[in-house]
Amino acid sequence: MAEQKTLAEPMADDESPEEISDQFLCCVCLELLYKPIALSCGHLSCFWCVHKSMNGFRESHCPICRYPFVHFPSVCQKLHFLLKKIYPLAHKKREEQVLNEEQELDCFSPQIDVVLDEPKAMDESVCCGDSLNVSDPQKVEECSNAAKLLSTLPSRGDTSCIPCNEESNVHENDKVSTQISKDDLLCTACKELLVRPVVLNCGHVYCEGCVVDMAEESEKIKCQECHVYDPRGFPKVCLVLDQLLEENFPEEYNSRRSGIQKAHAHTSKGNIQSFLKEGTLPVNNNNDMPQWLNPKSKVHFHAGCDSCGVHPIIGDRYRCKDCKEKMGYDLCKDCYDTPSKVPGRFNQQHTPDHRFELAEVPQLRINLNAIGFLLGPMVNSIEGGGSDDGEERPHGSSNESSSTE
Amino acid sequence: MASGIARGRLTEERKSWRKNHPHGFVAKPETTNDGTVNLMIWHCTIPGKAGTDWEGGFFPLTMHFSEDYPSKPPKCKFPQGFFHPNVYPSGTVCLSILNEDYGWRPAITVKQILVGIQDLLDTPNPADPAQTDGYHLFCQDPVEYKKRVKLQSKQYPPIV
Repeated sequence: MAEQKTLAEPMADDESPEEISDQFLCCVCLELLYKPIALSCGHLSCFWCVHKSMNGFRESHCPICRYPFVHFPSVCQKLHFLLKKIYPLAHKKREEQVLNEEQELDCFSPQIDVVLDEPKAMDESVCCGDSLNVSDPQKVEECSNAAKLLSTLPSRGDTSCIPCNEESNVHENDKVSTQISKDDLLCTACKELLVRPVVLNCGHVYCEGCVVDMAEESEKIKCQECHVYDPRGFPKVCLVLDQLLEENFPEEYNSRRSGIQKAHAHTSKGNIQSFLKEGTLPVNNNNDMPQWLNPKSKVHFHAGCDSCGVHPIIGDRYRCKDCKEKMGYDLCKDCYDTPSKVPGRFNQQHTPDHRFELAEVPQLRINLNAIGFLLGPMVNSIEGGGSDDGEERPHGSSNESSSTE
Repeated sequence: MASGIARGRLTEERKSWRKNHPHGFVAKPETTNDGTVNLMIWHCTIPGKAGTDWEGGFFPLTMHFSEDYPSKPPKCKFPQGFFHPNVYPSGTVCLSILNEDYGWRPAITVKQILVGIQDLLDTPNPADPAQTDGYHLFCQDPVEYKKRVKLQSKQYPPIV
């Protein structure tokens, strides 16, 4: 191994400033999770990594376990700010890098840092410590470029990051900020340390037990923080967060955990597992597959709902007439009928007084055979009504068959 | 939103490979004639597993990544005419984890792919034949099959 290293050409310039624990690396981009999203299976990936890998025609699959999903969840802000605290340098780097890409695309992820950053940005010294505590000159220059870039972004307004460039190179990496506290990891419902945390579609985090309690009154889980229903079934425990809790607060975590297990053993609904299994059923129903192929089902290819995140929208789709963003602002019928104040998924400046119109269903004159060529075995099983999962079919894509001749 | 995540991911894959990789394996992005690196094509070497008929062979494999990577798997190719029941005559490897509709997950790394293919060498999947030659011998003439495998392993000696 040592030999390998000396032989290799230097890659110092793109080496991460901090050693990032594997569990916080996004499985899609292999970099520090940025604006993390927890899918209903409990797995994590970056906002853009999830969005870019979603299927515009049918349900998507978790990049880690292939668990199907149709809703694009909101960013888990709790984890986002935790990662920012633990890895300030890498996080900053990611922030600049992603913002750059977003500007090129003219399409933005939710600007969640703005609100919390603004008071800090007013204070020059904090700003320096937080954003530019790098000692090597090249990095400082990168940072200052990015800072300028940040300030040119309309939504950022006139944050005062630039003036501190000159003094930035004297700052040392202060370790205070890397200390995570219990307050960062409290359940919204019980206000205690999270135990077996689950992340709802809206990105808010609860103990698994608290969510079970919340769902007892109605079939669906209503977030106590944003008052939005989770349109999916029961989300699974986010194991990365769970591990983080156990590692950082072992004593409290374990006592909380055993306390909860005792409490549940005495209640009639003690068996969480069977309850959860029932709860996951709606997800599967949502994913009834052939729907998107049926012209009557009105599938809006590649269009997602900005409120619940369902993607693609199936059925009526309402499009905002007043949002100027290229991305537009869309709602599915359910969300249109139950107005909420949830902001757009892509930082659209949508307000409740905007007007909507019913969007046309894209009329793709679909030739099933033509699609069969593109999608291979999937369509076969729909057309032929075959129920098996296609173990016998050759795994090669359709264009391979020609080379077999 | 087709803006490429592919290159970023491949850069990270490269870094992670340099940090550590399984013994005897090689994986390197292509260097074009003018000296620039093409991250979208990787030249790899898979060693035959010790204790199998594939031992001693160092098999060249090319990975072709598309702009849709890692949503879509890379295409993995041995040299044309490579002898193995699950390798197409074109050299393309037929493996469930490399098929978007079956086993592929964006979380699968280059390392895992290469180790997976190394595994496939000595444990072919007769349910999924991709070439007649290798498939028929594997099913009908184990002795000849073994001979062909050993011969092929000699044809790909270690690169010094």
